[in-house]
Amino acid sequence: MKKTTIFGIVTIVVFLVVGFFAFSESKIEYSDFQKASENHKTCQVKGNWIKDKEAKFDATTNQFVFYMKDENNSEMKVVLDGARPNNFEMAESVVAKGKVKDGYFHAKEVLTKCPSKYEGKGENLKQSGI
Amino acid sequence: MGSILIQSGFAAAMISMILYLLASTGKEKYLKYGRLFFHLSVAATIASAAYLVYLIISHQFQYTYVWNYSSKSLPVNLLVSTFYAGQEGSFHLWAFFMAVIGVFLLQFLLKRDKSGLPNSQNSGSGKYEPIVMFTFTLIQAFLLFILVLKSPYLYVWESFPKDAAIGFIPEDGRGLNPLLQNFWMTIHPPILFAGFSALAVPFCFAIAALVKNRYSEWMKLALPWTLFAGMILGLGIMLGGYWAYGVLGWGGYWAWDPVENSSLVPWIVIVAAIHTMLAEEKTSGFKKSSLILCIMAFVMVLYSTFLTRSGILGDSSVHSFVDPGQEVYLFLVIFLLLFTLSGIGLIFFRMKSLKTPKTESTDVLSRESALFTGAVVLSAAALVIAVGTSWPIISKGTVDAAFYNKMNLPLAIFIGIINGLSILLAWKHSEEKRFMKSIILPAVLAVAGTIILAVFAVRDVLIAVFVASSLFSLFINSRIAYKIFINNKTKAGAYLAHIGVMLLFLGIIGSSKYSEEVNVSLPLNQPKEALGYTMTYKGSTPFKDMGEEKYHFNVVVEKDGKGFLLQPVMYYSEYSEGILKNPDIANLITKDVYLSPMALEEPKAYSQDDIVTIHKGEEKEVKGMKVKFIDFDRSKFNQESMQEGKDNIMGAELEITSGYEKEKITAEQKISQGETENIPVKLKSNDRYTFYLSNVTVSGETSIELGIVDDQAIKDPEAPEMLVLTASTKPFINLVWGGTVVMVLGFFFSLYSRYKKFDYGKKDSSKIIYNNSHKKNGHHKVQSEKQLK
Repeated sequence: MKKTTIFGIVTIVVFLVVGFFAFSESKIEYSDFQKASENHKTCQVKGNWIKDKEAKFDATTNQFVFYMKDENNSEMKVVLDGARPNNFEMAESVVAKGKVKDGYFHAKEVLTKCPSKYEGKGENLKQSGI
Repeated sequence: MGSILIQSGFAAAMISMILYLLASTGKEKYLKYGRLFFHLSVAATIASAAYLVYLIISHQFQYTYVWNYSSKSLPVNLLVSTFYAGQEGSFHLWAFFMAVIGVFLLQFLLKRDKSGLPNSQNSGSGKYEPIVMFTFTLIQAFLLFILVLKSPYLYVWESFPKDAAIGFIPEDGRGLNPLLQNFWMTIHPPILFAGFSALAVPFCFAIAALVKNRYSEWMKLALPWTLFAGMILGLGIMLGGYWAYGVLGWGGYWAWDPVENSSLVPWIVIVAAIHTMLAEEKTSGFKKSSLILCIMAFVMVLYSTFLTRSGILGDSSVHSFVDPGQEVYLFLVIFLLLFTLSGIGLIFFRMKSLKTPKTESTDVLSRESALFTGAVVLSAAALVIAVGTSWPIISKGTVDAAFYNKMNLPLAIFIGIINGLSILLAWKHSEEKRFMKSIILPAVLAVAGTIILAVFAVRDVLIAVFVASSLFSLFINSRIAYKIFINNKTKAGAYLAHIGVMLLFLGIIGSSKYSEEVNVSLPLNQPKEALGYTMTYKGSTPFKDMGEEKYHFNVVVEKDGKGFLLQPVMYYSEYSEGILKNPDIANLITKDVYLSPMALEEPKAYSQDDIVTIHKGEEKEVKGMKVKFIDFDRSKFNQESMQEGKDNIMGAELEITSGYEKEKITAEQKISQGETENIPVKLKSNDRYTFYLSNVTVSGETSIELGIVDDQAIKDPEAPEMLVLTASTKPFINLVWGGTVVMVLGFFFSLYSRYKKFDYGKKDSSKIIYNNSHKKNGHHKVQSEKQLK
């Protein structure tokens, strides 16, 4: 029984250590463009896409390019690997996951937040009135 | 009327709960009334659900919930599914399933309590009904109270007093999110919620056992429910995966999304519980583990509800539900804390009596230790996923999907090995030599299988080990399942479930690790090579679906002279105000070819060579003309509407001197929703040239880019439209679906044979059969199915 206890403890310790390293490697923190351009780490930035600047898909590189303003109002070009995210147009805010590279934010993923998608607002009601 | 039903359902549940509490202290006379009020609560809950369905089907848009999620254009099956499109409705769905399961649970308890369990005293305290039903109605009361707080029966003028006058009836509803307009989406939430509701039952039995401080029977009573919950929840989870794969176009069935994770964690925990419960049944040890796991499974359900419904993970999930409001948030916290603390508290309270008497030390080489180790590994996996999912709460940030893959890979390897070994081991004690001998054949087969695969593809060491461990377990389970299957089909349940899991593992390895993915741009009618296939875009065809104009993008995929047509879909959704895309999949035997559309690039009116940059006030000589950029024309431009993303027009005043004619024109650019459209403009005096305002620089240097096209110039053969796709192959993905089906069947057979055994055990009461071999079968053949129903 003692052997198994020791074996058990060793397994747990190994598991925790491996877990800790895997964890600190894959942790993605919230950041802003300034911090992201200083440390070049993978992070996520929350903000709004700037609607009066271009937002287009580039078929030669298969990337979607748009401009985004973070919560401190600093602007940066965001290049997303992939197509325009679903519901991008109506997004109230977006979260871009990736890192800063050569002066732009290279995003692996962009999440869109659209509260109105799930819940109607009073304004919508007026439009659908009799 | 709906609100009254909900409120009375809640009140009845509360009364029933109090009556059951009184009954549990030995006052049997309250039992009758407890049952009565419980049935009243069930009736009110089911009536309210029916009423809400009626409101939706009859388009009563004066109700905010109906207006918010449905519309006249939806067909009936989708209309019914709008029932659970929002938070209120999905809580209602949960309460509905609790009510239905509650009726069966009460029947079940009445039958057991009346006939008396093996070895139980037939006094009031021997009954399980009071405490089980007390706990169950308490949970139901909580769910109904959420519906009282956040009622689906609010009128629009109650929700939006500023915007709607009393009595106002909107003409049509807002409609259902197009992503949810799909068959799989209509059945996935009910199955998931049925599973969540079923998980409440083992929890209630565990609580009852702890309160009564009697641990001999609860597990036998709870096990069939636990199996049922495991089956239903497992099915529900994979249906969600199928939806993500086939409709959402995620490119995979699993993305470690918080919502997916939070239904997976309770499932893993309950599967672990099933295993310790089996060990407990045979050895009467492992009481604590089974109790803790049954309690934790339900606690994880509540926790996942909290995570996904409180808005706390809002930034990290695609399912982004909105903030439900302060009171619901607080209430969810109370709901979660109450059940967690009382469950764990009770275990601590009973710690002393839960100790397994140490008559004989457990042999390492016994099936029960293997089962226990398996449960520990499963719990570790659940813990990893739970921590990863909760990370956004602990700190500001999320965890990369790679974390889950990395951590769960070694655990999954363990699961394969332990599972294989445990089946070869006997209860209590195994003879070492015989055991070692029995390992050899499956181990050799597994290694051989892995080597064959390694020759073809498998290069990664850990993956190879994973393949080997899955094959190992697969061979062992198949052999035994086959032997048993010949004698008595239903007895093979456990082995069948394991075969399913191992097939699923192999499918996951193939379809994720060896998936190949490329982005391709397909010009119309020009074949291109990708992933070993020749793909040709043949143009698009419009079709009508759910009242929306959608487009099939026809892609012919060919290989070795054989071809098939894939039709991924893209369309503009009024509801989402954006382009929505659905993938199309060719299901071949060994793999899927998966085409996910990204964009359709239409030919541009001008090429890169036609573009000139002109600064403000500057004049340039272009194509024999003098072009001067005077100033911007902002007359149709409005900064505010720009910010809101509405349509806007930016103009540039130009002065063109062509020959002797001097002319002023305005080139315009229409900006809407981030898309720019360049409006062509021609000279009055000379229609040979067309001008496009292609780009505008306002900050710093003021300049414009102009595209000037000479219509008489020799053009390229018209640049064709181009379909941009992400193409991927998913090897052996059929094993994922097939494995799931086999696993669910396995659960079903186990459940079925459990019920049979139950009735058998009842008649032949106290006899506990210790079987040194797993190959017991045919024991309980002669049982009528009637007793089941």
